[in-house]
Amino acid sequence: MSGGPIVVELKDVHKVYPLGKTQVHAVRGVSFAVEKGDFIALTGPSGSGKSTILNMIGCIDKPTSGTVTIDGVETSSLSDRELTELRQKKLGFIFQSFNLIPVLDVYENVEFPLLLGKQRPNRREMQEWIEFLLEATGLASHRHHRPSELSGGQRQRVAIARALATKPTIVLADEPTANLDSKTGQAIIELMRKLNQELHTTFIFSTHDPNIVAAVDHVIRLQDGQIVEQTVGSRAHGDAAGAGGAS
Amino acid sequence: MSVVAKIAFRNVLRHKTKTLIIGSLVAVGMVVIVLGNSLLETAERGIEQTYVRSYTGHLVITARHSATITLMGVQGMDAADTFIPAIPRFEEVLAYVSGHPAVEAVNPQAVAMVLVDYEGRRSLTQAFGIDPVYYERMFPDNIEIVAGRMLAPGEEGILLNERGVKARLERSGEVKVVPGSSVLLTGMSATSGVRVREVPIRGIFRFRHGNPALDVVSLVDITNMRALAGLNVAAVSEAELSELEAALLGAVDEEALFGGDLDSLFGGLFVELAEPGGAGFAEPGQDGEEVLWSALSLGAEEDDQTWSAAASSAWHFLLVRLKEGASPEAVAAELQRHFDAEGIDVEVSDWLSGAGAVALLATGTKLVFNVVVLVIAVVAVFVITNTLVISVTERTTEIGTMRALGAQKSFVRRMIFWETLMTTGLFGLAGVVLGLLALAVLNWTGIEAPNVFFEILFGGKVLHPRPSWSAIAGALALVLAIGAAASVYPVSIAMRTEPAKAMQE
Repeated sequence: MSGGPIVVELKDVHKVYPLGKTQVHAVRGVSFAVEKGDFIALTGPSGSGKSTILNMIGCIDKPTSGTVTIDGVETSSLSDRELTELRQKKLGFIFQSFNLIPVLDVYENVEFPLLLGKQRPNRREMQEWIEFLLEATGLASHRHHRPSELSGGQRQRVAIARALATKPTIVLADEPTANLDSKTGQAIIELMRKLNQELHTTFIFSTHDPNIVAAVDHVIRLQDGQIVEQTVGSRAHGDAAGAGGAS
Repeated sequence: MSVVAKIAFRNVLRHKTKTLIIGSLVAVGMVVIVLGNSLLETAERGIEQTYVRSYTGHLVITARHSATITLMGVQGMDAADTFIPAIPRFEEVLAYVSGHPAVEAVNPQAVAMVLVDYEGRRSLTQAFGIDPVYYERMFPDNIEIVAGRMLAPGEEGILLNERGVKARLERSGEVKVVPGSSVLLTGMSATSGVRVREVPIRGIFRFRHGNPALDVVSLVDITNMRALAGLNVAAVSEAELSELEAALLGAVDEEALFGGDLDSLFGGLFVELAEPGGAGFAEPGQDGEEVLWSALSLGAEEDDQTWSAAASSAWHFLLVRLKEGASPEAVAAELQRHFDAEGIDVEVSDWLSGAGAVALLATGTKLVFNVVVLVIAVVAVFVITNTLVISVTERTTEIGTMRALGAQKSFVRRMIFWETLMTTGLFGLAGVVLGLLALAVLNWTGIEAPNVFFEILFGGKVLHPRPSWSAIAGALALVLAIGAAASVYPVSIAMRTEPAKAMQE
């Protein structure tokens, strides 16, 4: 843990999905907190509930019971409009398949989230910030390329720059290296770690990738919708000590 | 350009198949609408100009009536039993309309379907009863005299239509209709029964701007016309039967009528009537049939004075031509208000009401055409909707990503809406341009009417269509409406796309 203020807090969160005539209990009473600047991974086998938890933190899904608080805002009572606004201001997303907007070039993709807010940032400041992000992600020379003209690694770099465009409190990354070769994946992890340290942006991963688990300093292991192990501390993967476990 | 418009425009370019399916449908539709409506509107304008200039004037005043009355007579199933009323207080109506500052000319007119007998040949004609002075002032160049001359003021006579009655009478080739000879005209009305008049042929004419429907028209002096049409005839004929007529009617009993063959019936009748001391009905040398015709014609010589004097103001129509720039609607409303206030029971209608079915042909055809266009438009909405639904369904991850990144539902709605409007709008404009090019070619070459129907519709043998800007504006509005309607369901699907879709890959 970095010792900063808490930016994400889950309290006794349950998520039940209907599946035909039965119900799937995807998350069973999960509680944990994430501090500002944390670099944290939710890990576990498929169906363990990590993506569901990431979706609830990302305000694109709601818990069946329990509370999810993002940067001090309890999300369960928010309307769709308010949740969308919260996502735009506080959250950045990095997707497994990059999910860039195909008709926009690199610069425009990074700029896109900035144009969705109620208040547009100062144009010059916005340009300088995007240029900084493109430099930081090594895309300065590709700013006018369309996604289809980029490699997988370059696309994910664009996604990282886009996720940071609104200077969000938290960046959520869903299997960010799953579609990349190991070398490119490692480079992407290092880039995110660098940005985490420089910008103090909280990164939360949902991943199977041992390289990510090795890189983070807070690991939450899930199984059958419950936390089975929580490891806290810099490069926590080296420590076997559980720190609280399932709530 | 806003980010919504930018994304929408680029999506239009990116999804070429979808764009081409929707676009070609829209473009072809626009070409059809622009061409069709421009053709029909040109025809409609042509018919209006022809009718207003040559047959109806801008306004038509009639007595108030419940039937459908046109210059061609009563229209509809009960036409034969319906009497066209004469305009009440005609002198007042004529004086007021003639003195109106917006009125350039007026023409009183009457109408009846008349059977024309000429040397054993028969043909029907739609007879227009006119006063040549008014008629020539109102329509100075609408007829061309091909033989003989125009009716002189106050003169009895008929002008036969060259292409209609004359052609039919001469069809067998055995007779030739020449001015100076006479025809027997038989009129029939519900109020006055059968009326027969012998009328001299003063001339043969053709309409300069005619159409096949107008070929049936002949022009007759109003005095004979009133007799044939039964105008003001009821009171006169029933109350003042002449001695001869009474004698004639009294002599016909059932036995005489049904007791023998027709020749013996009439032969006996006329012999009886011609006997010395009788009514002196038959002149020496007249045969029975001549006497009957003579009796039925109510004694053209002496009775004409009675007709002319008693019914000088009996007219079916008063046609009104307005001065350049005058609004027919405004003048009609003003005239109607005046007549209503004065308690004169007349109706002031536009040229179309007077012109009847033929002039309504273009309007009716246009209506049918536009109904078909609307049906096609509905089909187009379904096709476009279907294409857009597929497109939106293929893009749920993209839309979900936008939503996850903070795009409100309204952003997604505007994006899909813009895409549809851009596609339909751009291709709609392309369709307009193509339609205008096609019109330019058709205007240059002209479209020849392949048959009588089209000749009537075109208002002549060749149509040179001109663009109808109102049709183009209407078509563009329609195409945008189609786009808007077609995007409703796809937009609703897009708006239901959850941001979680972004994660489901």
